[in-house]
Amino acid sequence: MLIELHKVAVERGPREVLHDININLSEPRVGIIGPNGAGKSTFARLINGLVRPSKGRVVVNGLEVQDNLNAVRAQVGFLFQNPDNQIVFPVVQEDMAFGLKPSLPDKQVRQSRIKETLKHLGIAELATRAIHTLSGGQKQLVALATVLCMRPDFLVLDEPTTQLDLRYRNRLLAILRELKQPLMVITHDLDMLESFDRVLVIDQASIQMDGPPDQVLPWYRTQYA
Amino acid sequence: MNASPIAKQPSESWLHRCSAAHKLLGLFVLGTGLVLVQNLAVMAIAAILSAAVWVSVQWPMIRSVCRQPWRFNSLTSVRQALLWPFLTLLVLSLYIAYFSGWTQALVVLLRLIALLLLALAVMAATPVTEMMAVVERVLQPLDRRGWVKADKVALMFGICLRLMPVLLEQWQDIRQAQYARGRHSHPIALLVPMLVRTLQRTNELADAIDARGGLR
Repeated sequence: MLIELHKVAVERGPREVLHDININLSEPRVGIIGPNGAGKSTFARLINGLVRPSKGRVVVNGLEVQDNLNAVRAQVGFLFQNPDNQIVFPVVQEDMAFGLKPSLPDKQVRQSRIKETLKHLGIAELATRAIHTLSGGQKQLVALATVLCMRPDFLVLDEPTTQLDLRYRNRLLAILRELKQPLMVITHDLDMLESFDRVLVIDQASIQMDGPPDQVLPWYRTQYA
Repeated sequence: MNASPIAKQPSESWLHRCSAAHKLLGLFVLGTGLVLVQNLAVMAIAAILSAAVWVSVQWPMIRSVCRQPWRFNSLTSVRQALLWPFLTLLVLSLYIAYFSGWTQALVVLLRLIALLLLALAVMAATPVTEMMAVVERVLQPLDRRGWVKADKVALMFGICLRLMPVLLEQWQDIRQAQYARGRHSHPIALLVPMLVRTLQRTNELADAIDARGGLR
């Protein structure tokens, strides 16, 4: 999976959220860190076209994002920070079926994919539960299931552990470690990134530091403590 | 554990076994019939029958609550869900009683209770995706003429059902945040943050739908 950003800028009114970003990402595990409001989420949202660049081009696996939105979104799964905003339907399996319907019109096939995904994540018992009866951790796992059941080639996770207690955080990290897909994680949880291949620090609309975690994380801890 | 008057019951009641189209058609016909009837005795029977339908659908939840009430730490959600509709009905009945008499007020009260319970039973016994499929099918003739987008209206219908408990929770959060700061809830002070948060949530939800391929 290759993600390329060529001279990308994102403007919101007079403010530049991202400025002249040039980067290629091909590593299996990429972490994005930076202070609040630095442009991390905007950076991640560029990759599946949720944010349109004001200048420049974003290319995912050779596909220009803005010209191939559906094809890119089928390849890039996106996990939002707040699962309540990600889950569209009132019952777990109904929500998972929503995302699968265009690619799997057969109901039986859809149901078997849903069961398989929930079982893989160890939450098979939640299939018929109403979303509003789930805990925050369960909701986040369900949100991840809705993304994984679509079998994306690449995953973008926007602060996936922010609302989780220690038990669910560890459970989520164990699931992420076993995933075959390459992933990009935006987080403030620096410990999570120690086993990653590459870490970017975004601040003041640009990439301040880029490298392996053993170089970037100590630098970040001293600069931003 | 959670209890809710519209909680989906995994068990198969007789209403679960009916098709979504039949249930929605039945709700429409009974609703129309109840609006046309003005007889108090008929309305009382309709309210009792509607209550029986709701109980038959929610029987597993009612039985669990009765057997082990301590497991249901959120019985308050039932109170929260039912309190405001029934308070509204009460105020409406008093208003009608003042202008048209007690008999008319009772007819209206029983009619609305019957309708509410029937709607709750249908919602609890029907997957939202099946209801959406019915809405989409019903709107197909209008879609073909280009007057509406049937799939979008069906999705809106589904999202409305999903957001009801979320918005209720949001309302409680805002109210409690104001109480915590020593403020009594004022309608404007509640409505403004509610509106802002709902708009933010709408944007996020639209992004989430887009991220999963949206409506294709």
